[in-house]
Amino acid sequence: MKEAKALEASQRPFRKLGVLSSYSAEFLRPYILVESDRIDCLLKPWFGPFNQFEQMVLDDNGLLWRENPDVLWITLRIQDVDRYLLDEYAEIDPLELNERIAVLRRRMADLCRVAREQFKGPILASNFTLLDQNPVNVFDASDPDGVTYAIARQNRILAKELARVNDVYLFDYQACIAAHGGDSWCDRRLWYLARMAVAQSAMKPLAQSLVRSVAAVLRPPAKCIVVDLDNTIWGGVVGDDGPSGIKLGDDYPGSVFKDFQAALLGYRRRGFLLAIVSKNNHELACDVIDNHPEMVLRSDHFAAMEISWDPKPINLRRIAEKLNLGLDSFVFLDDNPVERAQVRAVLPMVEVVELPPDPLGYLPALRNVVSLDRPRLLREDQKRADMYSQEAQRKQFHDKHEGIDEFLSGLKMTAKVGCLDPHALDRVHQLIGKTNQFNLTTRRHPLDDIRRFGESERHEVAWLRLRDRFGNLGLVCVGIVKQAEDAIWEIDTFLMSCRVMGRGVEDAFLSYLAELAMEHGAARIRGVYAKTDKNQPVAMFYQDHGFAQIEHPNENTWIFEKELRTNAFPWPSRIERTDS
Amino acid sequence: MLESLESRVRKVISEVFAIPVEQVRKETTQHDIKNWDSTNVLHLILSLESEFGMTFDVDELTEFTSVETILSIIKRKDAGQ
Repeated sequence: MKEAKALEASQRPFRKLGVLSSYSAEFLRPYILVESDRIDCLLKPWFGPFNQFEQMVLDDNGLLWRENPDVLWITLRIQDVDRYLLDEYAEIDPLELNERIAVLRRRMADLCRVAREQFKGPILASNFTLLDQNPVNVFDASDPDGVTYAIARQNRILAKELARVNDVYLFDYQACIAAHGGDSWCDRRLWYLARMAVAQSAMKPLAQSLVRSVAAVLRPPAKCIVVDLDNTIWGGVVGDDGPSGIKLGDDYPGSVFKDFQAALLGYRRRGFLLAIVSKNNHELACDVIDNHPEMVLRSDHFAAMEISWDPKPINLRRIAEKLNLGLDSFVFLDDNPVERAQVRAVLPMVEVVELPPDPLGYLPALRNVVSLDRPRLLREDQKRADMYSQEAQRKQFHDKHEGIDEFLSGLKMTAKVGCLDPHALDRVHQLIGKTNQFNLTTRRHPLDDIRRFGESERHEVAWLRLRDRFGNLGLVCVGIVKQAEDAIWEIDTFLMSCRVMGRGVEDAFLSYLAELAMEHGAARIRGVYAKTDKNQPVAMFYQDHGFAQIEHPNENTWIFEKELRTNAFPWPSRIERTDS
Repeated sequence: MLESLESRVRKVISEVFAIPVEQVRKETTQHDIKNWDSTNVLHLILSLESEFGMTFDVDELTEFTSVETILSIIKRKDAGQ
């Protein structure tokens, strides 16, 4: 309580969470403050008057929008809105029962759609449940037309509907109650006196699940999970016990480690890279990884391996360099508290997971890592880990070829360029939200603005997709050009995924942007470099492409221009071009 | 013993309503504390329940109107246990 008041009054950066609920949720305030701060994503909640969803969402100048929240949570309980459904449903037919819950589902979906038009931030909508209500009929689930399945059916439709609205996500209220226990979820005294539907003992778990979901939609997820070997992904020490002596297999305790490996592989399938940092004999460790019959993870699953006696912070840095990723996107798993402490001290930006001494606790600890929650899985995410493995093959290929030119030509790159379309929107938004290094202005445009630019006559939102002989690299460049003056078009955004740096793809993309500007009648093109902590690699980008500096309005901003003539920005010959 | 019960109650009240503990006296009532509203009084009740490890009945909750009545409710419950 005291802690919550201090957080509420503090000047620390925070986001505002707007809450619209069918009960009086105000009691959650201190819990939301404390639990969000605990995961470094401080949220200050604002509670709309309860049960006034449409009034709040529809009124352009009303209370809610004047509060200007960063993220919105809408939670609607069946028993608040259709109070006697449970008592009445024994005498109504299945169609009517289904329809009564469908009414609520449509109401929730409409609220989200209307809010989407008014509001730029992410929206979370709770799914429906009656787990917090003592069931009137313990055999309800044996009736295929009963309320249990009617709710499940409508939740499924709700999930499908919300997936079609940008930046709207389902908050799994049902799972949250199930995990904590429906019996103790509601305190009838609080309900009857204050219309508060959550007991005090349930406020903390609810706030924890909620802030975790909110953090996942507000913050970019981690990118790489780095694991130690001995006593982390297998039991025992291979240097002491030998490859056949380590514990890994289908019987305890080897089964614990095997399951842990399977879980890590699951994360890889969801787009996280895996890497190894281990103090070990390199040959011995590789022998286990490649040849141990019970290993789930093999060397092609790892985007990088640093197995040596060097300190772990040094090896982590090597991996970051190799993968061209920031260390702040790393999650580090190591059973040894001394190693963890060293990494924490030397590389505070790396997220070090506090693994418990008992390996049985490893998996729950991994599941609790908030930065590994990904609200929506894009196709690019699923393929990412494979792309990095292909990248390793490319590097080998690179080593075999001497000159950079020869290497690049040998890659047989094909680029497809085009302007914003619905298929590209999510990926364009994702790259705008997370690209740090090759990003000239680092403007984090919200989804709605991107869509608006795409429709505007005075803007073009462009992308580039790349393939090469090793595989498909997907959508890797995003650019936004806009009319700044009559005949001057400005590059508002120019960014490129770091996995294709060093191949001249940016020359191709710049050529395409210049072409778009010329089609709009521009005579000059303007570029802006806005310096950040991370985009040093592109500081000279415009100079290198023949732009002249025209202004330096503040210490972190430089403005350049260049005349647009045919062939002022030639398309590089080693990249084949296809237009969409 | 009674002294410590009273000071514990006063401390909880001062935390819930965010006022210095000196401003909470035995004769303080709901009218003396500006933000003594229905929400905060429930926060107070929940905090007292955790502090003293007891559960109040719904009818008792409506009696939480002054430091004195709160003390007597807690003492009554304590004696009953």
